[in-house]
Amino acid sequence: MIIEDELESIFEKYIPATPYRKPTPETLLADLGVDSLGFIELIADIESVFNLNITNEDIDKLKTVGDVIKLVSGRAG
Amino acid sequence: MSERILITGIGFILPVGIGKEAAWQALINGCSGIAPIARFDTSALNCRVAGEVKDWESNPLSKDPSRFDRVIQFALGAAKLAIEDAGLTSADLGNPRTGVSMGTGLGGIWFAESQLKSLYEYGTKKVSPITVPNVNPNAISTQIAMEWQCSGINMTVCTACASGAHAIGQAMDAMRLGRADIMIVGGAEAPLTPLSFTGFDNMRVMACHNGEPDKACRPFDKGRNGFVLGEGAGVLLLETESHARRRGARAYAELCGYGASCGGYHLVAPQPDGRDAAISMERALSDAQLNKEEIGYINAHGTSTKANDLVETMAVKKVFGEKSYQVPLSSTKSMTGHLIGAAGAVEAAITALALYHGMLPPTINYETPDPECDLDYVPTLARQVHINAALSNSFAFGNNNACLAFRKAP
Repeated sequence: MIIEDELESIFEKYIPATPYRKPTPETLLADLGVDSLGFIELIADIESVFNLNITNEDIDKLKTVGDVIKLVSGRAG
Repeated sequence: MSERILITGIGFILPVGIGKEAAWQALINGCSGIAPIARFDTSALNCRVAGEVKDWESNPLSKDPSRFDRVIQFALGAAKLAIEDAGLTSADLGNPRTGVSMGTGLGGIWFAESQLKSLYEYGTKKVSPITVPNVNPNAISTQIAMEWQCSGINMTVCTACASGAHAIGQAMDAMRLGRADIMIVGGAEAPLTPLSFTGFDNMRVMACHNGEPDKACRPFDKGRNGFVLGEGAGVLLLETESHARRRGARAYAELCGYGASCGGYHLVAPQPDGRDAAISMERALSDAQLNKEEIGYINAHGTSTKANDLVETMAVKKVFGEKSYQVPLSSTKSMTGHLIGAAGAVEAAITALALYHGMLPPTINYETPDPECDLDYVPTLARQVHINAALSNSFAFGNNNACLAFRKAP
């Protein structure tokens, strides 16, 4: 649960505030309203917070918020 | 015959005030924006004062300060004020006939500093992916274009203290060639960061009057001993006369001439006889088809350094000869501080307002005359005048000179 909470606060930083739509695991990353540069910042934040490495190949496979949760849960800690 | 170019909007974010009205009132009342630096530790430095912008974060266009450098915030904020002042909206600006031309000397230097610190302290993973788009000087013109969807010409000029003036001159030329109907022009600078400030301090070009911050910047005064750094932005709306007339816009002044030159002499020192600076003024006059006799005011570069103020005085004498003593010139840097790449734009807007109001802002702190600087510097008090044309000088490090010429609005 802690991972999900931390991820949510990272996503919150980049998702436009108005109108804020809380992401669910099913939300497509393409629908977050985050531009390509913002998404790269978001990934860098995740790498930094969880102290892990996310490669370009990893990023290509990420389609939904759930994919991100799964990737981080599998590697963190 | 190319179209006349009018100034129809002005936006200021300055150490003396935010917004055209607040800043203008401060300037004609001789209010200084210089104070001790609050943002970082200056105890080991020779100069410990600057013109900081206060109460800025409340602006609705402020973006997350951890993601966007202060220079971008200033540029966007001043552009918004200028656009509102001109009575324009996104619907008027979102087209390929609207361009942006901005100036900055140092761009996003705070962002560069903070990321260098992260890199050396914590390693490569801690460097922000948006370092480059923050540090690139052209971030300021790009962000303005993004905000209002301006899809015409877009550029950022980087010529130190003349950046803002060159940006305006280049935009005017483009408009005269028919390449745009509206240009959002100006300059922004956020140089109050430890690295940039210390760099200027160690060059020993900044004023050492820490005990009396509001008296530190004293252009043309005998006791002047350096410039005072300032931060902020000035943005102007340039509009072709036909476009402005169609929508019944108010104009502050006509921008009618631009002269650029370079001394090719030194990285920071002016050419000792001021001949290159004089060339830029001559060129602006000739471009504007103005006679010297018509100039009723010069907004001086007037940095408050020994060298600039002396050489600028000599350059004015070269151009105006005997008439030099009848042309009032004032340095508004005495109140705003030196906004480097934004200075030329801020002062172009002030010059336009001087023509509009028939009022010359003073040079404050001009108390002891310097026999070598013996012109009329409009000391201490603003002066009501009837003038029809004016110049604004910008003489940068690297001898990058720009002079802009203005007429009273038609």
